[in-house]
Amino acid sequence: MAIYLDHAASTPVRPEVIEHMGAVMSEQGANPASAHQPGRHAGAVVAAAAAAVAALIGAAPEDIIWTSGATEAINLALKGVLEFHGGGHVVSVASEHRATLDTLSWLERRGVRVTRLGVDAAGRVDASAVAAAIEADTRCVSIMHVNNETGVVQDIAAIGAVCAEHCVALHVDAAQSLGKLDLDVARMHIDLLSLSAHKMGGPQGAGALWLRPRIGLAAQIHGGGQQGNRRSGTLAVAQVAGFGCACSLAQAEMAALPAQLRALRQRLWQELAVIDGVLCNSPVQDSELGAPHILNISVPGVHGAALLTGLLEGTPALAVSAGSACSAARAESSHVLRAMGRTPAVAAASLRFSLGRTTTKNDIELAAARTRTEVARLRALAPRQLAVPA
Amino acid sequence: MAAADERLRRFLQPDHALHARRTWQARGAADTPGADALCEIYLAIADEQIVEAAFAAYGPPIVVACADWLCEQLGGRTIAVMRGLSEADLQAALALAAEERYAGMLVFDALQDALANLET
Repeated sequence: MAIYLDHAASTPVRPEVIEHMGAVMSEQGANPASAHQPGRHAGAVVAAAAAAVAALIGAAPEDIIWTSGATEAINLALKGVLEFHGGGHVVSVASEHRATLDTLSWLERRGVRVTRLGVDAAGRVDASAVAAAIEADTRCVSIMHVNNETGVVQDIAAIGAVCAEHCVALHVDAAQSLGKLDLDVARMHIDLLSLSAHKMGGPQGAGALWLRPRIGLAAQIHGGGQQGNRRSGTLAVAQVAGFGCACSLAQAEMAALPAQLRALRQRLWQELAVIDGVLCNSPVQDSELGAPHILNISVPGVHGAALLTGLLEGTPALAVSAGSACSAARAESSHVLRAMGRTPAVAAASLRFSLGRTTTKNDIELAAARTRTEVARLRALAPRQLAVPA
Repeated sequence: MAAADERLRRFLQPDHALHARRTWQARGAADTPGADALCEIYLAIADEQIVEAAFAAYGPPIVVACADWLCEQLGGRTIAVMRGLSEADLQAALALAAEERYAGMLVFDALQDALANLET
């Protein structure tokens, strides 16, 4: 069994969530939009889930739009706002998730203008840079709360204040922060918030977009008029219920879980820092700047794909991720790390460890030992000019 | 053994990684654009015959696997026979996909460089 340290990609579904979803699925499977009694019961299950999700972000349940995940929520937010306004300008950041960057590229091909702000060496964007980028026809600023590769936390409250001052909608991708960091849409001046269930113990295939009332949004899926005509299609009641259950559980653990994850991540970094030349791409020294569950490192002199394969296929196997898919043929490396100023070679030699509620101290120690051993093996294989780190 | 298994075995436990137990008569090197992969081939030669070949490599796992396969083929061959080895043999043996063929070209480029160095 692999040591699972890839919770930022997907977290195992919590047993309580599985039990709750099983109970919902075993009930009469009515359509929550139906007026009959079974339909109303299904509707009540959905409403309870909405209340749980909304409570975790300081919002009202009726403003939750269920989606298939964060990617769909991001698509709905960006395409929906821009279509509602008939085009315009968007401000975002070069280190965003592909769900945002690819959606923005799609919009660009249809005439929308996009400004992609750079980040500093830590991966942060400054609120003043956002303010300077806003133009007269800027319809939306889109920024992720926690970067999925490095765990860097953006100052959403400050950026939100800028957006509110300029009357520009702020969309935040919170796929990595829900259940791990405080989220309050009012305090942070957020107008649209994209959420995912499977990063925090809920099921895959469930997500949500929270939309502030009176923000204009054009639907992107049509047919049936469900969810107030904002996203048609019969709701996946069990998935939605599972998401709600995961949010309820997360809320009860918010006081303890971040500190537990942060302590484990610090331990992991201490164990890995002894590797010659290792670079930390996550802000581990400042609890305000870094999410508690992500540690991203680069190991000069070791190829990222080789390190990843060695860890995935060796014994004991680790389940971790490269910062981004690396391809020698396409000479690609992490766009996030390159935006932070890392060289392509260093960006390509990155590894992301992401921790979850089930991660143990033993997992951390085994993973660190395996990583040290694999780095030593690959460095011994490498040509001599690469074997000694710069 | 399926090609995928052989590739993985050669990456995880290569038999022909460079070592210091021998004096090498020729060394050749090659890299890919952007230096995303590098390969060095070392040859120990006696009486026009390859006694042993070894490699040092940096790159994706397929680069290590290709270098290890090539060095295995070189051992015991005469230089003349060695020149008859082709990338097609390597592509077939390790079932290289189109996007992996650069790795085969890389290790053969390193071999050609080693031969050129030997001749000079």
